[in-house]
Amino acid sequence: MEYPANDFQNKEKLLNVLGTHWTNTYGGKDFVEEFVRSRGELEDQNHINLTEACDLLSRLDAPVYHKEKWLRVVLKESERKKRPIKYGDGTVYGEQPITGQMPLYGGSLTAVEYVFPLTQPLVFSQLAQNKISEPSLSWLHGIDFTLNSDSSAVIFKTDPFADSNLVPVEIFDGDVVIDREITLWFKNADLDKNYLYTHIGYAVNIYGKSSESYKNLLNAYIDSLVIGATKESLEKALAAMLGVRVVQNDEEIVELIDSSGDNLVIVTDKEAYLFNVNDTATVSVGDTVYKGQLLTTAASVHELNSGAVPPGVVALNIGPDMMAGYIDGVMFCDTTVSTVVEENVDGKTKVSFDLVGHPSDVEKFWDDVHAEGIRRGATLAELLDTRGYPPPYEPTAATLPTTINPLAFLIKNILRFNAFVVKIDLSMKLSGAFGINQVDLIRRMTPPWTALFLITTGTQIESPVNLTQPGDETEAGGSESLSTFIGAEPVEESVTGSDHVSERVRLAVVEGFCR
Amino acid sequence: MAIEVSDLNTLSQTSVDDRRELLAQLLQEYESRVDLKRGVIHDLLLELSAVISAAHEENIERLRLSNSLQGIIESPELSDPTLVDKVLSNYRLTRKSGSAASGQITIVVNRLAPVTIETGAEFEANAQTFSVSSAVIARTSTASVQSDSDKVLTPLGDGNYAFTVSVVADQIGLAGRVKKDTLFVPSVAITNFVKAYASADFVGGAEDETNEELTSRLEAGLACKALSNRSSMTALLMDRFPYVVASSIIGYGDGEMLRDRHSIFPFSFGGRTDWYVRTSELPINLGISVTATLMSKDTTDGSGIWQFSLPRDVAPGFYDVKNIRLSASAETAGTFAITSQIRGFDVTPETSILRPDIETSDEAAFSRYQTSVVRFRDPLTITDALSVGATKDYAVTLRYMPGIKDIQLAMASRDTRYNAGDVLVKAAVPCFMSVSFTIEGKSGLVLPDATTLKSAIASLVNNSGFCGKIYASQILDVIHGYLGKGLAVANLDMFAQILKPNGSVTSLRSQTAISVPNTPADMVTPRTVCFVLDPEDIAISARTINVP
Repeated sequence: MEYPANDFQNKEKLLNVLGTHWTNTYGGKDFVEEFVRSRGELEDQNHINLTEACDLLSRLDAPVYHKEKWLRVVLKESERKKRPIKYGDGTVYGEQPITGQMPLYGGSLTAVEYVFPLTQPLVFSQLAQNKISEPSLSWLHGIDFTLNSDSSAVIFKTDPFADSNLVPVEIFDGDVVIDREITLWFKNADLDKNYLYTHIGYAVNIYGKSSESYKNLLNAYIDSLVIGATKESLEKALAAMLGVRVVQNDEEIVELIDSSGDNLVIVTDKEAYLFNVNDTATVSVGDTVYKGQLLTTAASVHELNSGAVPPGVVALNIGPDMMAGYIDGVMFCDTTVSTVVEENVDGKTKVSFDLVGHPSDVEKFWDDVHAEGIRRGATLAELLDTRGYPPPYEPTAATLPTTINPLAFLIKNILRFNAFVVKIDLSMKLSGAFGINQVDLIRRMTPPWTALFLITTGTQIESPVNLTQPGDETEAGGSESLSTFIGAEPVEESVTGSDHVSERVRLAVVEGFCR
Repeated sequence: MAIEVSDLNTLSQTSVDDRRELLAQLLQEYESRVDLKRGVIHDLLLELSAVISAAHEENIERLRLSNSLQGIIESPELSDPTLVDKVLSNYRLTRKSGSAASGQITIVVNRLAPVTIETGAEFEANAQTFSVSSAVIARTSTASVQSDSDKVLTPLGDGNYAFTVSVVADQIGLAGRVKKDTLFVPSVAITNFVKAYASADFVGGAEDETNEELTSRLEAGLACKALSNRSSMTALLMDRFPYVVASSIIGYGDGEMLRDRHSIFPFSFGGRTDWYVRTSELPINLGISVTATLMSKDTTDGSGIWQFSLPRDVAPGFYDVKNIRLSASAETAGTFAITSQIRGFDVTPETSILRPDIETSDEAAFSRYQTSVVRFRDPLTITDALSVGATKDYAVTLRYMPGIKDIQLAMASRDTRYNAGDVLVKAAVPCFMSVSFTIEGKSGLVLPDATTLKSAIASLVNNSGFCGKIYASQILDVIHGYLGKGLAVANLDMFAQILKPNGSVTSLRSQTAISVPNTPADMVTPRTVCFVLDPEDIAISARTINVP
């Protein structure tokens, strides 16, 4: 943004508004100039507030956070808390890179961070200073301090009250000093005033913590309301759940794919997209990508209308919600199994194949298929007969396929009509992602006569057990030696039934309604 | 207009302080020679600038909040219906105005002689006044009818005659919804008058929509009105049928969906939608006249088993037969015992309407395609002289949700549905509740008005949508809002009966919460069941406690 961005930032222009007396004649012109400059800062903040109020009229332009050019934060010494080192704090062996401290053997490791509560919902600021225009102290976010918006606290690496650049002001109660406080100015501070929920999320009853992902999810959902169910809005919602962006413009050309840094970066001729560094791009340099398109394998939508098994889908479970009267349902796996042919079961040839599930569910499934086939006049064996339907005579093993792929069979014959598969790799979530806690939103976004099979994957934490060797005190193994210990003697207490047991009968009048 | 320029005396002191401190800090850094602690610069420049700037900030904040519905509703300065209505126009929503209930009154006279009822003639019932909406002249025969507004006196078989007039409640609101058979008292003399009663439950009658009710429709206002996804479908329903109280859409992958399993495989194929709709807070009691056929005779007491059919367009999707009486009966209570009720379905095609895929009567239950055959024992009609196959007229009262047929036809019509759009509209599976409790307190304390209290409790339950659970604490919360100091509630008991689509009944009872069982194979789950509580089914007793 250019400076000055508006007239409030232009002190000469503000001064000119006052007229020639103040600009030319008045002796204290310098003071007047600095006053209008300072006053301009106040009105510039109001200008930001007004712009935000206007932007909040549009769900697309709504700002996630309120911006304060200069946020005054007063730290009280009485509220200072010292936090000991925790695992994961980034402490290294030897001299600490930022503070230069050298933890010594046997020395105390407490008080490496100084925590102060915040009275305002401060989420982020790059810079904290002791003065606004010419600071003698500037602290950087992530290096000198961090902000914890969940606990509304600012955490400093060093004690602000020990810094000579910050002059504490003493607080008196009568003649007694009861506290000290210092003032810090946070530049371009982001404050979470729940803009997105109060202005947009409230209207559609979707609550989320303020973030770009939350905003993207709301927009995807409202798109599906205003336009109706679309593939694009669903994919935008999935992307928001992972904290990534879909393609923003009608057409973009991929120019760079790089995962050498902290993130996988896909750069097009119009935008740059960040992903988890372990994510895999589904596009190549030179590809043309289209608005709403997902660019990596972190989330993918597979439509089944061609009847083919989508890549990476190894099994699908048909649960009790799609089959009444079953315990867990049955699972169809992407593998080749032999068909089992039984002749003259209730007068008809019965065919079945291996499915995964509770044995009673699997048995019931094939019994139901056969019985329903007889009732409806077309058994599965007749439908699978290689001679075509209707077969000239009752099928036999010789006229039926010898093997079958259960998953391919399921998709080709049943799911291809109204179902689709969504795969989400939760380990590819970016920081600030909305997550899948409200995955039921997808139910509200998709036509009710379609079904979505959601496959979520995550990072597998391996804890191998070598069964070929015996275990020991620390590692599990194929065999374990047992030892016993003597427990305490149980305390005996005898109770004679007749002394402690009695019977009591109570009669009550119960009223009811007959309909 | 609720946005007002803020009073400078009521500005937040913190906001003024922050502005003054920022201004002072900037000035001090730019011009360090100036004393900013006191004096003319502090008082005239810093303080005034801070106050004016804080006022601007406050006004901008109010402007921002005035565009946030949550901000408007939760902010005392902005909580103004006019402002809410303006913002809601952005969501294509208009506040529903209150309406007066209306219905028909049957007037019984004891002579076959013309009767005139003037427009505006008043009748009273349930402490409400109702006015005749258009004049009626009851004539003695069809031949004497002179205009469309004339009615013919119908003989009741007991020497009396009846005709009907339409009336409208004088006051808007729910209080005008009187029940079928409620007696009315005319305010003017009617020739040969015997009695007047409600021919059927009165309909309509609503209060002005509250901010809370309006905000619950926000999503529907935004959404396109089409058979697309659940949100837009709900928006379509609310747009075309604004009286709908709640709805729930069951589709592919939902256990309650049975209609997409019509194949040799026992699982769902999709492509079907069952739409459970509650169109009224309470089911309507509809009185009809049926001709029953004698099916068998009981020689021991002379009674007979009679049968009548209910085609799909008589009270479409009705819940149950509430009572059966002789046509000429003057009784307003009691019923002949129903010996069997067999539900069926009728999917006779209609022009331009997609016939839904229905294979069983359970699938058709509570939809406009439902039919029924009812058998009952009539102990009052001696059948000795009658032959099996003889017929007789009876007055039957059915309990049903209105509008199910209209909604079905609208959703299945070619200007609304998509190709192969198989949507079956059903009345919500009812869970009929009753509640009883005791109000306890010391002697002399004033008890709340029972009618008002019952109405508030019923309103809570009947507007709970497809919630799956009603807690005693929710009801207690309502009750406590009406209790004065020193009064308390004891012995709250809830009883409920779910009328399943297969016709069977499941009873539930609890002092803490009534939960809808999750039995999708029966199409009975929290997504298909609505709680129904008639104020008449709330029993309140009072007990004096003697505390020293």
